[in-house]
Amino acid sequence: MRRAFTMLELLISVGIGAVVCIAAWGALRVATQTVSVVEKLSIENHLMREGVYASLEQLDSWRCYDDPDPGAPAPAQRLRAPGHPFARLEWTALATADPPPVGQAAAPSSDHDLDLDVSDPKTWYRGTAISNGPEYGNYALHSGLAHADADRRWYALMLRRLADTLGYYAMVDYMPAGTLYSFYHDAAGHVPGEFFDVGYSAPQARQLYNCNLGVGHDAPRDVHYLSMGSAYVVTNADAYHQPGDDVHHQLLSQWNNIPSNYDQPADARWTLDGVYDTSQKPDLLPLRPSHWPAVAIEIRRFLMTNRQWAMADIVVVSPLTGERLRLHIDTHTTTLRGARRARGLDVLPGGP
Amino acid sequence: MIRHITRPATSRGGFTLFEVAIALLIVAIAVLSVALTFPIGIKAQRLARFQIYAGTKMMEMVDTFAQAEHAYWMRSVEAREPWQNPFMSTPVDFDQMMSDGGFGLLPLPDAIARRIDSDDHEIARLLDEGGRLYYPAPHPFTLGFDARHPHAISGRTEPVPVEAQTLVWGVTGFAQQNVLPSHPCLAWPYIATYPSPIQEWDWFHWNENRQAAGGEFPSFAAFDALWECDGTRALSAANFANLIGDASIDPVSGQPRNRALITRAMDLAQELVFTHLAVPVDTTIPSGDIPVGRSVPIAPAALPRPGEPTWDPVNGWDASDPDLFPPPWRVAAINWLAVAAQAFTSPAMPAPAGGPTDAAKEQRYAQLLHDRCLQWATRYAAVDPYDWGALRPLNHQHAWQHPLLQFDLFPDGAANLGVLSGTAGDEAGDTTWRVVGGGAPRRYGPGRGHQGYHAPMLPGHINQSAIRGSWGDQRHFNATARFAPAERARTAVCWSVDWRAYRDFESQPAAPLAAKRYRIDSAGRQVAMKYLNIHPEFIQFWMDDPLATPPAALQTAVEAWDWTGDPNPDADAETTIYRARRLGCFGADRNGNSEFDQGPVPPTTRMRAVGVGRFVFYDRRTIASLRF
Repeated sequence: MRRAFTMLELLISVGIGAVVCIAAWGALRVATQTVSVVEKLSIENHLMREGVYASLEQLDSWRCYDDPDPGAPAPAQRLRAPGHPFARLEWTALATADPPPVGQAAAPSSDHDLDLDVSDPKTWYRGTAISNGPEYGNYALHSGLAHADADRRWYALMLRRLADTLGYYAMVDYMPAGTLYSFYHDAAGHVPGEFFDVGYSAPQARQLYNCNLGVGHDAPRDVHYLSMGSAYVVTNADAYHQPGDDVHHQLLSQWNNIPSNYDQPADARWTLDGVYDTSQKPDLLPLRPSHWPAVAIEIRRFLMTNRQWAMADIVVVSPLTGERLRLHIDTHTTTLRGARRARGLDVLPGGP
Repeated sequence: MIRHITRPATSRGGFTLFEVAIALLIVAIAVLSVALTFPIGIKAQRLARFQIYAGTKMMEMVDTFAQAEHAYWMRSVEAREPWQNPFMSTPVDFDQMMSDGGFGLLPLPDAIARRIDSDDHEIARLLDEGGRLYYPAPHPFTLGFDARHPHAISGRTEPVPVEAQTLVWGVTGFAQQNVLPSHPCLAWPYIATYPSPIQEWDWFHWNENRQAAGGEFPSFAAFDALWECDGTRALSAANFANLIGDASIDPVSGQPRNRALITRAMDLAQELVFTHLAVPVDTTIPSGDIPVGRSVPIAPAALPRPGEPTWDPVNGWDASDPDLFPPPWRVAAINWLAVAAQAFTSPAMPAPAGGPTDAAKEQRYAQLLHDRCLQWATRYAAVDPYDWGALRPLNHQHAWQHPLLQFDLFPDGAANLGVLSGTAGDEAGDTTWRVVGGGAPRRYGPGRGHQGYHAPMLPGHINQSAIRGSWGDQRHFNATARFAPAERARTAVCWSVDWRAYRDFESQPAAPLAAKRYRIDSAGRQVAMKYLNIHPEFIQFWMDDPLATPPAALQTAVEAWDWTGDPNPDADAETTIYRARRLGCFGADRNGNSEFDQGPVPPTTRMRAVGVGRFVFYDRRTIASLRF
């Protein structure tokens, strides 16, 4: 006779089945969640890795400041305009563009020499480091923009042309490490006001020296003293390219919210806090669906505290939780000069 | 016949409870086994994340290491005695940059580091050998390592991701013997713009090195006459600036005072250069270019340019050739002659009696001397970095002006030959190694003596004998010796461990600070600005005991920062509480949230660190920069 299940057996079976189902369901759920977490971590890692790669590429190539593609749209090459760091510089034209003193023939010029052989006497500073004024003697007799000897004009001309054409960051980037950033622009031994500690004027006025560091001590400065409390930036950010702005001929100085006796620029953009707003933010995933995690990078370049800084922030944001992961990288080693040379923007006698 | 075998009805039952239990056990094991594999994927991804953090940080560290900061602000660079100089700990190498906060890493308190286990006891061995563990600063130094406080000032930074804060770093491998930033008592090279007035240091230098005192510098009397300039010290740096603008009538000469006194100084300089130091006159200069008409002991004369050096294929360069190796006294004297001539071109200087003609001559003469002065100074600075007899020209700076110096770590077995010690007063117990160089430094004078940030060393203190006694055995100099790359290879090791889970992770006192890094030296002098972050964790230090202070009253150092107060109190302002705050005795806000936190793990529990990555790097021995 075939005996039916007893109620007890049935209950036990159902119980066991339920346990198995619960266990299986739990395992499946854990498995699903784990896969989901692993996938999330994997995607984030992948995005972060891509962000790091993209940042390093940007730090190396300066692409987000200037698109090297000759056919790039104009906004991507905005910094090639005169006065900006990627302006084209015709070094061969410098000699002819520089008029000889009245009554004298044009002397052969070596202005185009960008190799900056510091053993060459033309690279020697011939002013006095005591003062930017002529009271200790007229040192313009020995060098300066108006000097008759081309080699004695070279130092002044380099500073003048680099500052005018490319801006302050580029000027420091090109000149040798021991440069004193001062020169005489007339035969009477006067230093241009821009290279002078004259204090703040209009925020957008050209100003290389930070007056707060030099009150009562108006003397030529090296890069150490120039950048002790100031930043000179390279930026393509719209916030610093408003009408009337001259960001590459301006310093950013003093913190915005320090209650102190320091003078602060009236416009907060020109304080050191503004360095954060000079970031370039190339879009890595412009076609990203909204439910994907976002990855963004920010690149900043500036001269401050005696060094050229190139910084990258990689930010990965979860679209669901809003969680942000920010990775920061500091580098120092790539130069504007190298980026310009790669683009053929320094036109030397033998060609770019 | 077919035999039908019928199974008894009782034998066809269901599974027994035992069978079911076994089956369930098998299913459970299978499910658990599968479930146990799930975290492996998570762990792998987390490790991958850590490796991204670590790899990126290492790249940043090496890049920063290759561009080390060479300018050191607001701290004393030389001392009266060799053993008193804290600047010798200045970070020029990887370890020092790490322990100085230069990489955005901060030292983990030793008490916490000692609780962390690792494979092969690597962390324990590292600590036993004097190494440290370092953790990432909770806020990145987003405006440069030198500006560690922007997060507090601007509020514009975000904390380092929590998981990245679990990384700890150490360096294994033998530390390098690095080149010193300078001599402990004399931060050579001293530099000045050429031409420039006579500095008080020049007088001490010449006096200490005069021939009568056993030195090489000749004609001290003539030099002293120039320095004194009939009691006016017209060409001294201290008086020169004021004198230039003083056109009042000098009662003795009846001339404007500036013209009269600087003319006198120039004449004395001429006498020193041409008569006493026997610099030959350049007769090729047209006499019409030489200013005339003054009452001078000797005729103003033109300086020659340094002669072209000649290379002897047998004997090499001739060390006695003054054109090739200009003696420092000659370079210095030419400098002062040139600065005097230059003064006559100042708009503050009254016109010469001869009118525009003489003024033009004075200008041409100033030009001539300025050129010659620079030529002599740059020749001098180019040929021998170990001749410390004259100031190096700021006009033409280059790396070769820096002598290579090392500590002599290899005494020849003689007792204390390699070590110098202070024996008296507050110097007792101070020690240092002797110094050796790539060449034997010579013709040095006393240090300028800026031992102290707030107050320099006693004016006129002569420590030349201390310098003379500081030299070790030059044969032990090895900075330029041949080496195999492997000798410079070291390893930065990164682990992950959640040390912030400890209950006392924010109340543990900071890692000890080497006394040589403190802002007060053993002589009680302030040697660094108060606000320099001498301890890398300083800006996060609690200002009071966090376990006994109400949360609302608890502040970190950067929050308590007094922006308007005296930044440099004297040493006697160092109260017990002040020192406790400066040294991190109350712990630090190590997760950067400005609140005192305590983790769930008791200090008695040990943690195990997971290895994340190992990075072999080249540890250079000299200060260097590389940009491309």
